[in-house]
Amino acid sequence: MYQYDAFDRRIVEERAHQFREQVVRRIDGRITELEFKPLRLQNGLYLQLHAYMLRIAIPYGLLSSKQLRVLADVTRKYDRGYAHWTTRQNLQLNWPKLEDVPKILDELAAVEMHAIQTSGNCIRNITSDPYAGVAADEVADPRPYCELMRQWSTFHPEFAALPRKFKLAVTGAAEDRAAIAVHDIGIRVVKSDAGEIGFAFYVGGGQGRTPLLAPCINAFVPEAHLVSYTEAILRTYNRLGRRDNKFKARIKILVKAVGAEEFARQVEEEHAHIAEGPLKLAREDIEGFRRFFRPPMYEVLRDDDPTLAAALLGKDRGLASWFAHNVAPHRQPGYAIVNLSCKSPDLPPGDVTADQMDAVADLADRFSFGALVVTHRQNLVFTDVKKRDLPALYAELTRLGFATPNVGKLTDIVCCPGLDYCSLANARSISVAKQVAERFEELSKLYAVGELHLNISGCINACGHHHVGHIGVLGIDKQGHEFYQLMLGGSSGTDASLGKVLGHALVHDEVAPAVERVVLAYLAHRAGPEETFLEAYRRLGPAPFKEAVYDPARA
Amino acid sequence: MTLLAHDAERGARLVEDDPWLDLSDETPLPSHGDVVVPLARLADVVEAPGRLAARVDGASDPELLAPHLHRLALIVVEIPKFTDGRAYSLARLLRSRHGYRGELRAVGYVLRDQLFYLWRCGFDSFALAPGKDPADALAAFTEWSVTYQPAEDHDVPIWRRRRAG
Amino acid sequence: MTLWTVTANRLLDGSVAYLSADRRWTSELARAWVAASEAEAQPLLAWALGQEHVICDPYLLELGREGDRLVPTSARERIRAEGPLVTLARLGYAPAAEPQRRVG
Repeated sequence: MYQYDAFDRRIVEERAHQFREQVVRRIDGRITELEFKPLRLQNGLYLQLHAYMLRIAIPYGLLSSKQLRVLADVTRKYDRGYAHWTTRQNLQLNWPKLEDVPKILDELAAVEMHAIQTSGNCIRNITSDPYAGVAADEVADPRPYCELMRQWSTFHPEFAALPRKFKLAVTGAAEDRAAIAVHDIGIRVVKSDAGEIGFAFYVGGGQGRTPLLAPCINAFVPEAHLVSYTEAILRTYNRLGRRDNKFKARIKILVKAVGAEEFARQVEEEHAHIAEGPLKLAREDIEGFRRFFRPPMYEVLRDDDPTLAAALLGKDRGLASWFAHNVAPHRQPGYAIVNLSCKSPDLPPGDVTADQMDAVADLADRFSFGALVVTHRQNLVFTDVKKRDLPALYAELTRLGFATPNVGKLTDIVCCPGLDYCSLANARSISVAKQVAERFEELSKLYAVGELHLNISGCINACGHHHVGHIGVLGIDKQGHEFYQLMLGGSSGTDASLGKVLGHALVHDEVAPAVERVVLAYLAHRAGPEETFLEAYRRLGPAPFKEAVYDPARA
Repeated sequence: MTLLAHDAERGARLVEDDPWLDLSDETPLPSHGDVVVPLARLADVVEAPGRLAARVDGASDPELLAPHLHRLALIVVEIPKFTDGRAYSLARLLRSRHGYRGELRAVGYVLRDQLFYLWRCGFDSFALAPGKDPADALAAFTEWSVTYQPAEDHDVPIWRRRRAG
Repeated sequence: MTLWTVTANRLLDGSVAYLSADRRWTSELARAWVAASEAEAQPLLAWALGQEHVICDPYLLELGREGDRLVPTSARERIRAEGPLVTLARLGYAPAAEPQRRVG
């Protein structure tokens, strides 16, 4: 993974120093709360319902075991012993004190981490494919580009006060595991017929109040122009994006208003001026980043490992189902990708204790070259596990509560902190997730259901990505009371789509039963076990599900 | 008004006297002195009594300023809200696209923590928002010893600087 | 009948605070100063807006009574008064101390 040099180190150290001074100025009254707020936000510090919340950046989700141990330490020392993986592959602390935040930043800086631009109207943490670097269907590893873009966007002076927040995702694979269609800019690494690397740019997607899928504005931007082209988009947006209405300030509104074609023309016009400038990348520039992401020293192994094969045939059916659901194929023979489910019945989705973090760090050292990835579905991934180690790893993960065989299944619920913590939320989301999880705890039921993504957001801001859940739940407020809309048919994958509201809003305790009725309707109507929920919904439309939820007597 | 200036040669400093007279749309031109006029009035000022400056805001189109740049010694950019970042892009366009070399001044809601960014985008003078401590603000220019991306202060991205060793 | 008080979050730790009758900030809703109307509460809000050195973003909060207890009328404010309803500690998972705040 990327290693800081003296420049990078100085930047995070100077940042910690700067923020310490900003906190001092707020406390002694030299700046007002109104003036402090954008400063603290650009450092990931929110003021939530009960406390401050600090969002720590995990660039493209990649963490070393050493970093994870420091996160555990910080969680223990400055918080209450647990933290939360977010849908932008970051980590949130729920209870830090304002005066402790500079100390936390110092400790993070020591292991090449920070909270820079994890909030505020600026370029946010760049997300990517959790299988980056090991996916079999990859054109090129997206992480060198992510790191390059991280550096370009960090404290970019021109884009420090954009009309609104700005989110980028980069994928290098054929299958979209980075949800690029619902980002301000989604970038797909592509290869031309001549074998040249370039990028397809999708601009103006997003969730929230106005969910939109990003149109492609350029199908092939040459590799050398990755940064200059992005700068041209950002400049166009910074100048022309709406600033009169917070709800219409995202780039998606601009792209929709002028049309993708016209927007593309404006970007091209701007880009023509800067394409050959200092942002143009030389081959060596990219190589300088690529060398940090070379594959680890794999052992030469046979792919059909006999230890694993024997264990899979053994008495422990748990191992087999875990292998079937949580383990993915690797491109290196004899290796596998292992998903750690952070969705056990005992914990709020995405929550993790400090002790678990330490234990996972140890396992990463033992089984996966000391690295791990946080996913936008709030799970963890060990990207490089030897197949023959899988039974041993399974035993450890089971002990720690990370082996629930549900990755990509109904109880692998994506969920924001909701009204239990968040000052923006309209309704609780964790408790809804808990009720659904309890209802579907009977695992055998789960297997029959197959792939099904349930996403829950406590408000329209859509941190739980409800628009792209196969089943989405959105918390809304009606005169101080919590209500929930159910939406079906969303997807963040290669076949991205936005879910549609099924019917009138439900009260809190109606949500889990309604989800169950939707699932039962699917099981009743599907063409066969091979047809997934999403496929069935696309074939059948909302009618049978609507009837199941709102008119169960007839259904 | 507290006015600060910053450039590569002389660093950051307080500017004690500011010769510029700010004129509205209607105020007649004085017989002598340096004057600032709104962008819309610029074409009407055929002959300025002294040096000439234009007042714009972040939303202004740099193309409208372009024909006048050769006779401007100062461009004053109004920043109505510190969360409005259009002035940053405007400044960069005036500097790099249109080659403006005169003074570029940020006025309005200008706070300490924007100063470094404003400077990197090409501003070289700054009218601090009322009530803010100038000594405090001057320190903002030395807060960072290294930056990742090229802007108007330098044109070497960090990855090239690393290669240069 | 709707009652009113002033609430905010403390600057140093972000914790929930209510304005008490002696113009201090208290963590306990039961000790909050209560106005019978929004108009009566406005001057106190104005005063609270000048308290930026200790609190952030004060606002008026609607309250009701359940028996002899003061209770916020919205779900959001009930959770604010009570703390997260689902936490690891409440699930019996983490030993970490979480101060239990009572409603009213």
